[in-house]
Amino acid sequence: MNGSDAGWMTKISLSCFAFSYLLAMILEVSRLFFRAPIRFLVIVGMTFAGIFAHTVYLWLKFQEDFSGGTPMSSWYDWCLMVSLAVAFTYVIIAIKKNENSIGIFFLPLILMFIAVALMVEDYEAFSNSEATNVWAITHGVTLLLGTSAMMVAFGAGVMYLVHAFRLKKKLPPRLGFRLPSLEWLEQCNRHALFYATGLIAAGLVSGAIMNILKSTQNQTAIPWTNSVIISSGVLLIWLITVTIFEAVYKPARQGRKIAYLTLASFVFLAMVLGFVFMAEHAGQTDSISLVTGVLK
Amino acid sequence: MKLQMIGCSHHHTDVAFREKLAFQPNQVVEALAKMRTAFPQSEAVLISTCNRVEIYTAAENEKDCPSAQQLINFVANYHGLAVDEIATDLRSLDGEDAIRHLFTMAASLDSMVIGEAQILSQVKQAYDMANQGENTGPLTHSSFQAAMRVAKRVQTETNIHRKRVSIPSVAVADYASQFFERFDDKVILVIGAGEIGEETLQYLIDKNARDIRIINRNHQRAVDLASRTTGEAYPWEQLDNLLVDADLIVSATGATEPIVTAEAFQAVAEKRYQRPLFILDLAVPRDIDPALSDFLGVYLYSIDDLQDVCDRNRKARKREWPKAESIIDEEVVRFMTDLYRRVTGPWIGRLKQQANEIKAAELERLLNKLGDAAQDPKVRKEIEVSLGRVVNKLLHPPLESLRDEVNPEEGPGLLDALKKLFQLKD
Repeated sequence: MNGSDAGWMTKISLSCFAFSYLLAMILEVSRLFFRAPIRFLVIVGMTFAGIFAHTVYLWLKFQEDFSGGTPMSSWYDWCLMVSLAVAFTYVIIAIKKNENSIGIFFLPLILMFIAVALMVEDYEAFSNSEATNVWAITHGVTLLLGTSAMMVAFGAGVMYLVHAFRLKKKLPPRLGFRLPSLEWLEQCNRHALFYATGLIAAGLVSGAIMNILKSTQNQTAIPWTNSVIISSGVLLIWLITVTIFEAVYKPARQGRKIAYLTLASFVFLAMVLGFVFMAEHAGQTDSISLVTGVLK
Repeated sequence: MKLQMIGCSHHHTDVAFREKLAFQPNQVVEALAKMRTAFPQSEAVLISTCNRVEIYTAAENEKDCPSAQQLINFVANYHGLAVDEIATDLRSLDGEDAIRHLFTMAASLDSMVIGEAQILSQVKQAYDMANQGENTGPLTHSSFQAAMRVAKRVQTETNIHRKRVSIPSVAVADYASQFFERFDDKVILVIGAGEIGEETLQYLIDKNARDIRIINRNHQRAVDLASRTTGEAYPWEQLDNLLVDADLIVSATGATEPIVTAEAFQAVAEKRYQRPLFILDLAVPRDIDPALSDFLGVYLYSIDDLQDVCDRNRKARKREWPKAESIIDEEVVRFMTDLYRRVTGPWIGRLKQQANEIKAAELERLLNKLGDAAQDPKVRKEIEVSLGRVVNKLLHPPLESLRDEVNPEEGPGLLDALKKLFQLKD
């Protein structure tokens, strides 16, 4: 691709893909009120347009940061990559379940992470040496994927609870608001929670190892009493507890129980991320570089 | 050009009459072959379902198309019936009425259960069979392809097909599908061996249900139902065990007291570990204690819960009716306009050709008469253009009227008038 071809791509900004997702969400909501024959295609088209702009934006940012030394190594980039991963997952599910109102639950999560990215845009990026550390990469990538999986589990869990409530109360099927079957939602929820648990646990353990290594190498490590460390530890314990609970207590494997457990797990994760951002974890501590180590 | 339909449907004839005229698939093939022999220049499509028997015929030249009486005779002969026996109950439509009926029927607005999806595939099948038998031609191609397009428009632009109206169909399609993604790995328990249970079971089998367990106080009836379907009959004593294993229960017995009480279900619930259970209680009075819906993971629906949806769906279908009708109207007008243009097109061309020949002859005569005065190319061109304008201006209004004519009742009249006025020959 030559410079003139790529010229228009440099004009792609965060607002381009955020607007595409927002428009897709508005169209999803409009399903509740009236029928329109080509709306689904427009929703998918808008989401694909958003994903395209989102990918191009991150790619160009990667190239720009790469010349500066440390690409994709800020919380801003991390949040945008989580939202892109969820957008990908959403569009695949939406095409597979094209009669269902999946977007009402997923698109707000995507937009929420874009909004969080904007909030942490000014946070300091990680240094080159921090970003290329193998444990830091493992920490960042597993947390990114784990958070994305947790978002999917959360979306499916909320849908399950809404759907189960409607069916239990015998509410009549509503035009334009059709959810996937309880069985599908339960499976999606359980699988996503399973992967999220594994990935987040791996992310937290690699973070702990990284911290131990730093303290043994006389580098500045995060104190073990730091609120982020404590809340991460609590999250890890919670996820292990949920896994054991599911294994030994049969009812926890199905129905509303798993949805409630997912919601609680998501709240824990949100709390940890909240602590991270509030403490400007990114500016003070070692953490992640998501792709530098691989691509550099 | 002629397009017509003769036939009967559930609206005006009873099932005994329709049975007499029905064509089995092999008979359709045979009848179409006989029609091709009897009326070689005519196109034909034969639709035979349990609710209707209809024959559509068409020909570019009206005289090639069999008359309604000839078709009645053909049907009577084929089935070995007396013409008088069937003639009065057969309906005959032609032109726009036949097209409107075809579109309405394909869109399932003429069906016994409005909006049922089966009719479109039956129309498609009939058209395919006529194609295979080489009974179709330009008119049947365009009308049947248009009918299928119209049916799809009605399907996508209205809710008329989405709303089911029978209790078993609503129970399976609108409710069971909200619980289960697939049915082939689910344990279906049918309590009772009556009609409604059997009908619901058929819908579940259509959805690929395989593990079907049937239980009835009269075991023999359960065995009979199992032999008619793909289920397995169990003795009544095993009810509790079956309740533990079931994912979906359809209960429709004639019992006067609940056969599953909340107290009895307590022990079952403990063994189920809150595994979701969808219960369809289709019996009146109810078979299942309503208190069961208080158990975690139990979703209990009675006939009243489903009846509300059926009634709402019926009302919703009625509301959608005008929308569907306006689609049919619009498509009929479009089709007839296209059809009429196909008829008038060659005559318009012929009239223009005739006018141009007159213009050319007159131009030549005038130029000869003018001699040297018309040698200047500019003058010649000006005269030619002027004559052309006169011809065009004279022909424009009648041709415009002819092109815009949609109503076939008036159309051929105008065309005939044009032919007579300008002495156009075939």
